[in-house]
Amino acid sequence: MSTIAAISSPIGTGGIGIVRVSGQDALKIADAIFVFKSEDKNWQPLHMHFGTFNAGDFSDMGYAVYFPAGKSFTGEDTVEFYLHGGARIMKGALETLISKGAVLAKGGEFTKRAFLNGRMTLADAEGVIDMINAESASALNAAYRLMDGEVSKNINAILERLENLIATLEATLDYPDEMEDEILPVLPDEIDCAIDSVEKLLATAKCGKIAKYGLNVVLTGRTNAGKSSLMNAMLKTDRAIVTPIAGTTRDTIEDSLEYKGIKINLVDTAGLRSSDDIVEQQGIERAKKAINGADIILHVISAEDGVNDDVEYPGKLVYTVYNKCDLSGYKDNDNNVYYLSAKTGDGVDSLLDGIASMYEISASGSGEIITSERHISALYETKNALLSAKSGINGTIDCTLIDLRKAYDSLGEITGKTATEDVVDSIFRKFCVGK
Amino acid sequence: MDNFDVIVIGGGHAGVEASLASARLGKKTLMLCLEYGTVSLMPCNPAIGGTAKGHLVREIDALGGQMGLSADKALLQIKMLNMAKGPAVYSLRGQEDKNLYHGIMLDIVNNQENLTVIDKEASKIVVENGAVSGVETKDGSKFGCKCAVLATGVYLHGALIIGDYVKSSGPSGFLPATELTASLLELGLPIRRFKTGTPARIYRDSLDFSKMEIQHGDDCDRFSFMSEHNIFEEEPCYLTYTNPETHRIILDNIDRSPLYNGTISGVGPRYCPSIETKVERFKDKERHQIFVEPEGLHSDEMYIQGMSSSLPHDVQEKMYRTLPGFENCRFAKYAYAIEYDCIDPLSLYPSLESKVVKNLYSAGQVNGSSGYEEAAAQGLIAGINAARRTDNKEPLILGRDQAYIGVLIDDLVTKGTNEPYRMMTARAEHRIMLRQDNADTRLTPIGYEIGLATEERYNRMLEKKAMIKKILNFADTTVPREKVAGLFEKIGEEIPQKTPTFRDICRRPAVNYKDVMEFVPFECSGEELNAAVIEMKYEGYLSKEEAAINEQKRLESKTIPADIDYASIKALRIEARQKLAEIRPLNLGQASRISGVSPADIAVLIVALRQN
Repeated sequence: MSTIAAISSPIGTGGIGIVRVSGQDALKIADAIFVFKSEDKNWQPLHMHFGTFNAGDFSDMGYAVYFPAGKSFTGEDTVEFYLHGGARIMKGALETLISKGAVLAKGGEFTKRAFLNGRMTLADAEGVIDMINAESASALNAAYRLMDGEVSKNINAILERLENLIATLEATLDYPDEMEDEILPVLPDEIDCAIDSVEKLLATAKCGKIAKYGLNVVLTGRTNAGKSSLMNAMLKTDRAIVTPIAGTTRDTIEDSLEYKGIKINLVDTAGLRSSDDIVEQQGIERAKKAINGADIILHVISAEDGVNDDVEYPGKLVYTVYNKCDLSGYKDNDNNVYYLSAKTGDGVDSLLDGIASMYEISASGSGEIITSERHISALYETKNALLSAKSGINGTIDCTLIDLRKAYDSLGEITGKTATEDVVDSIFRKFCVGK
Repeated sequence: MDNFDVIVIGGGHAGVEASLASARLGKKTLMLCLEYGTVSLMPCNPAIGGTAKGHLVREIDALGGQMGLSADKALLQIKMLNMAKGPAVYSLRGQEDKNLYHGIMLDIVNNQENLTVIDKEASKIVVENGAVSGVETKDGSKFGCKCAVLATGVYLHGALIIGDYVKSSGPSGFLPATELTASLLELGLPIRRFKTGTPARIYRDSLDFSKMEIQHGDDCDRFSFMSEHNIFEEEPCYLTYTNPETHRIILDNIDRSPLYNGTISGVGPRYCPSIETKVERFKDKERHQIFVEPEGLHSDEMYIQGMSSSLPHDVQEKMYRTLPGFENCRFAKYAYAIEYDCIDPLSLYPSLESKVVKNLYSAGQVNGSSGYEEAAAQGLIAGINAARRTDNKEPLILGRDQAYIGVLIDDLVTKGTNEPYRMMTARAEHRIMLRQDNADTRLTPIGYEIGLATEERYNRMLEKKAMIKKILNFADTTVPREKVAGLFEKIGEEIPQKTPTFRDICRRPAVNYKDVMEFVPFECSGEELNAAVIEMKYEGYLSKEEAAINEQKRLESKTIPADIDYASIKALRIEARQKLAEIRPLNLGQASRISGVSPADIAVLIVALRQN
């Protein structure tokens, strides 16, 4: 059985949210993500462990409980995580579980497993039917919405490509005599091309997240570069305390604005400097975490003194912002470099435009974006199967086809196609085989 | 009135396997065939096996069936197909001496204990209280039985079609069965009409083989796990091609083809297209392969594979004579299409018993399949299950993860078919597990358990298994560098720094079992070593596949009660309710494969089952 994961608490912001993973690899996956903070060395059954949930681009402190097979709802090894509530953390946590090998649970799947493992009581049954119906109805609606969309066109294009490839290879297996004359596709090229297309779709998934949860913009830079002033200027309120004293901002300060229809989440951080002040040290730690979760970093430099620490933010999109230009003079904005004055407000809208354009650029490719966790999960599975096909390319075709068919079936889950029937039809449509 | 446990109607590939299985399981069995000459007749190509079909033959053999053993005795040449494409798709194909095969089978059938063969035409299935009680024949005879197996092939209302000429007939000029369909319709079986075809037979002495490519077999395994590596006189096949002139003649006369002018109403198979269909559909293809195969050792007639047609005789003569080597060809038999009545297989349980009439089983082309091997496989299962029913034993149902036979039957009874169904490796999602090399370890334990596979066969399989285990135990031993130097040079690779183990060597893509035989320090056969090498090479894929199978198995193991009322499960979508009620799946696994039944429907079903 595969290992499945889902958000188990209700949608919406709450104090605590629950994510759960069930199946034979549940513990292995949990182990790869959750680091104990307490004295605990090993997972103890039915014991609440305190620790850190590392989601890659953010982390959260919370609790985890391991329910061993036979002691869980599903009857399988299950781990539940109790993290801070809120859609962003929940979705992020779920994506992390999926990236570590879990697959997204289908509607009613936890219950199905509970039944198959003999764990479900009669009392549960009634409510479960309603739940499954509701879920399948919403899945149906989602599928319906998908039908005419760009995403569906893109997915179908990849499916068609894979179907052609699989059908051609299958035809050579089932009709070895008759396929000798046919020109066969170059396998590595075809696989690379499919991987590329899947990755493009996954990139729009990121964009989908932005649409739903907003763009995370983090202000960093030396102390007294005017980060808090800039935040206030962008928000057009006095949200952050501004003083001439270096190190005024200790904790991270968060607030959001909507600009041209895009939600922008601003995070002001403590200036990164070595400090003996315990409070400031803590603030700097938080700043580092915020940076990890950022979509865009505004590296703020005071144009007055022009001192730049040359801090690197690997893998992040960084805008360099020269503040206090009212004192030193403005220059033309350049590629990801902005000149403005938080004090006068000059140039702040240009920066906001620059931030908004980042979203527009990533969205413009397809017009529509992938937002469903189910689709993201299917795309990851497809990608992994294609990578596996690629790594086994020196083996025999029968094995490569196992991976290619897996890739097709995973992707087909989005649109409801399965390899076997489609491929058989395709063989006869495309090739003159049969005696 | 004579009474039997099981009556089998038909003596073709399905009928023979069904009759032999039933008789060998100790049941008093009657086989009704139209004429003795039709027993195990091969009215189409003179070959057994091929891709996926070769797997079926190995599986029939592993269970204790007859086809493989007889095919090995009538070989003209044998070949292992797909050798470069991986062990999952290695497939045996043998050219067969048709007359010899028929003779061998007739002899076996006539000498089988518990089996009576009578050449009478069945005309009516007698049913009492919804269950079969006997069979009547056209001459008015009556035979009583507990179970019956329908294996009527293409004989039911067979109609032979050439050009605008239609004649009531069985294949190769044998008599058709004219009365049984009415009885089946009266019982309420869903009857439909399918079509198939066969190319011409040409006199050998009228062909110039010097203008064709000669094709030989190779030295490989035999079909049966029990066959000796016998020596036989090889007959070559020949390859020639169609050309623009052939295509022009066909297209000029396309309006005279019954396929295109509406004379033929039956649904033909896509994988046995007539030459006119190929030329019409693939217009940009410049030539089509034509294989010229002997009908028997020194037989006068050659089978012209790839030239099926239902065009009139004069057009056939013109188009055949455009083929290189065919300039002066003389026709022994013209190509023809044949239409016949068959049953919609959705009306069958996976045991091949009818859902309409209790104790009535059916197998082969009458179930909408195509091919000798597909027929034999179903015949074997129908025969086994009819015999088991007389003892009130559970039916034998093979899973999709156990055998191609399981895939074949599940496809037919769960998904149905709109054309004669041909087995293909592409249909078997777990094919890496369902290899022809391991058919015995997969199925002989089952055949032995039900009493069909002999003690000797069972012990042979156990020995093979033990030896595979012994080789795998040895696999992590290193092989001295000086011993492997030659092999690494041959495959063009450097010997790794770390001295390789036997397993390391076997897992290299370019290495096959013959290369590593010398490193095994004990006696083992090529078959055993090959099986072990495949296990090692494909370890990763096999374990992945096993995980997928285990997941599906849990659904397969949840049975659905026969009397479930789908209409009362309101939470199911209407389409799912209708489909489930029509197909009446035996378990949740089968239910999940029905088109139109979604995963959410299955979840609802699970809960509903739990409530009952």
